[in-house]
Amino acid sequence: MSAPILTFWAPLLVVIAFVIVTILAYLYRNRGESSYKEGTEQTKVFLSGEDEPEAGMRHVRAHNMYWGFFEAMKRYYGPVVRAHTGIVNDYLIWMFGLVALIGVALFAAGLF
Amino acid sequence: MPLLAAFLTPLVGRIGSQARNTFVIVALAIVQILVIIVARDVYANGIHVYTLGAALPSLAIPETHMVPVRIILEVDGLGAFMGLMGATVALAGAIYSISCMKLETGQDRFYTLLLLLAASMVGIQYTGDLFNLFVFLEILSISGAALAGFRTRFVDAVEGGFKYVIVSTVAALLVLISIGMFYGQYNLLNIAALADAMQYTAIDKIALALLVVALLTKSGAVPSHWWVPDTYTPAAGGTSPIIYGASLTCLAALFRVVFSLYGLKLSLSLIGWVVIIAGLLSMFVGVTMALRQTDVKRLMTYHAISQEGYMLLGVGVGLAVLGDPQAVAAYGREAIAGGIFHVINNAFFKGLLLLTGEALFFQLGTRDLNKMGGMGRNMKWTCAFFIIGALAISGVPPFNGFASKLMIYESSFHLNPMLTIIALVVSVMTLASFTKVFQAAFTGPEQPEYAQVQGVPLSMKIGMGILAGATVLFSLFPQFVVDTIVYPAADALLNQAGYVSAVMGGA
Amino acid sequence: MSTIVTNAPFIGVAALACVGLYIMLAQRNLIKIVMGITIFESAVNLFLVSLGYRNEGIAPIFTNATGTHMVLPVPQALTLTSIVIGVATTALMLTFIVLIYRHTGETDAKKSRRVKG
Repeated sequence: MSAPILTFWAPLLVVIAFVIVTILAYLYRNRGESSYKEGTEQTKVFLSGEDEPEAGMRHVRAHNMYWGFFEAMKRYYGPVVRAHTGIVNDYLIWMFGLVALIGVALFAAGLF
Repeated sequence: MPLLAAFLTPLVGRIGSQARNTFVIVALAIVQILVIIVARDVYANGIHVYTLGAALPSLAIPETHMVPVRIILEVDGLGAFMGLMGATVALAGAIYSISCMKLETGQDRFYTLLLLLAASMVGIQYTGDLFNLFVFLEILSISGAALAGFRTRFVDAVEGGFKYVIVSTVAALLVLISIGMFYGQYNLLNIAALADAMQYTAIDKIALALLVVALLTKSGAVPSHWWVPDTYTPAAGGTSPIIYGASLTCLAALFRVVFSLYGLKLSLSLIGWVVIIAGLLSMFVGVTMALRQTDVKRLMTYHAISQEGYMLLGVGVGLAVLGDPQAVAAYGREAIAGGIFHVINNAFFKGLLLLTGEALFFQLGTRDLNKMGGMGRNMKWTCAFFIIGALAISGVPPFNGFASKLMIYESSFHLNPMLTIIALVVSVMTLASFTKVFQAAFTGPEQPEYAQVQGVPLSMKIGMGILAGATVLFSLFPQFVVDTIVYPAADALLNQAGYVSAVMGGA
Repeated sequence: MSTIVTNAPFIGVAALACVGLYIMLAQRNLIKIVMGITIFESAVNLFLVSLGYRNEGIAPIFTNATGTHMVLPVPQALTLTSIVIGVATTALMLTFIVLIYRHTGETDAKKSRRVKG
């Protein structure tokens, strides 16, 4: 039973495959243009002629990421985020509610 | 050993801070070695029983009585396994804390608390007595809360510590009620003796509900996970992984109670499915809340909740089929082994990630992801450790996260394909949220206000390096690790009769 | 009637536990929450001690004992340990409340929280 599952692990094979692919990518990269000059117009970022904004404005901030995901899941996120209140009493209410629920469930299961 | 060291630390601290730091590290290293020795002994010779205060260490039942009366330490596969995890995490955290806490006052008390926390972690796993479990649980709560709220100049640290101590105290009281119920019925406190004498009466059912909920709360599973982000986030220095390791030992205590104490007398599918549902909810709620966070460490603590879900799922699947020997041989053992393997993997790479988050806080003075950017250039080692941890936790081959998650996926697939689907989706979302952290904190153009920030001090790198090294080690030799450490632990859980007979003398 | 008399400690336990539970769950003032936890803890300790009672038993002191029918000593040991642990945790909780008050000036659970979500 164990043998068929474990052949997929073989981590050394994955590492070797990764190294081989990296070498191939590097060789492929070396076939590109090498006749450009550093520090001139040729190496600057192309933004349709505009200037590069400063570093603070260029970086995408954390709360802007995955906006689409949050919008799509709004109906799920609304109650869940509101449930995370931070009030200690709520923590305890959840705990005791769970005890009651599991206790009732255990008794109900024993009856059938 | 850690208890002794904990009490000696303030005395040594009077000599000088350098001596105290060395003393703590040496003590934890000795603990590590001792734990490895015990583990090898247990794997070679079977369950190890040590009776406190008796004439011979193995004399569990005194001559004049029928039942064990003294406090017994019983180490089996699971105990040895968790001891290994606890010792490694404690050592790494302590080394990390040396330079992280240099600027803080009251360092004597910090290291004392850290050693107490390590002692309680090992103690919960090695004990065979329910009341001893309760005492160590309380030691864990008190030292963990004090460490979480150590930096009292931050209001969220104090709030985190407060919430932890309230929730822990109430959970421990629930455990105490159930211990009282057991004692009132059977006049016994020893886990093995109770397992022998257990009839599954109505009071036992109430006690089971209390124990399960209390230990689930202490380990941070949904829907009692509310205290986890508040507490792990502001934890001082390198103690976040140690407090996380403490929660994992509470999880293992839950497994111990459900498997070895109740065993086959439970109404199994119900409790198994309760654990599975808790696992699923933890995974999903944990990771979806993690995606929304803008605080680095809070995000990682939501991941801690989500990974606990994986462990609960794996062991829950094994629990749900415990009464069916054929199913157990086919996929139950695999599931339990996967869950347990995930425990130790998680301790390593989640601990590593928490340490990198703390490193960012140490260097930048802020945990807000909205303010960070481009730290990959300045903090190269932290970036490398972060990549290792993030890939491992998402279950990307060749890391060990993939190995344990594959075991969980394969076995839960046999029980119900829906479980595997949810687990896979959660894995993808885990990777998504770590991409978010990576992009926000490490890549991107160099921000002008962080130009002078350089890499973290050496001892922090060593602390992170220990955990990263353990992760890589487990990734490269998963088969060896599983055979030597994990399968004995899974078998120890399944083998309730062996656990009982080691103490009761084969009666 | 005799059932109530023999079970009086357990009725007391239930009453104390309900009072403690209500205070813990419904009161917003942090110090009152700690009081509720302490009352609940007393209920649990009472439960442990009253488990060990044997009818017409005497105190379990072995030397110079007047008879051999004693109440069980083990729950008394458990209760002592639990009381001591309770003292330590209550001290820690109250310390944290003092610190929270120093930072935020509030002792209300809803108004003094600074982290949520």
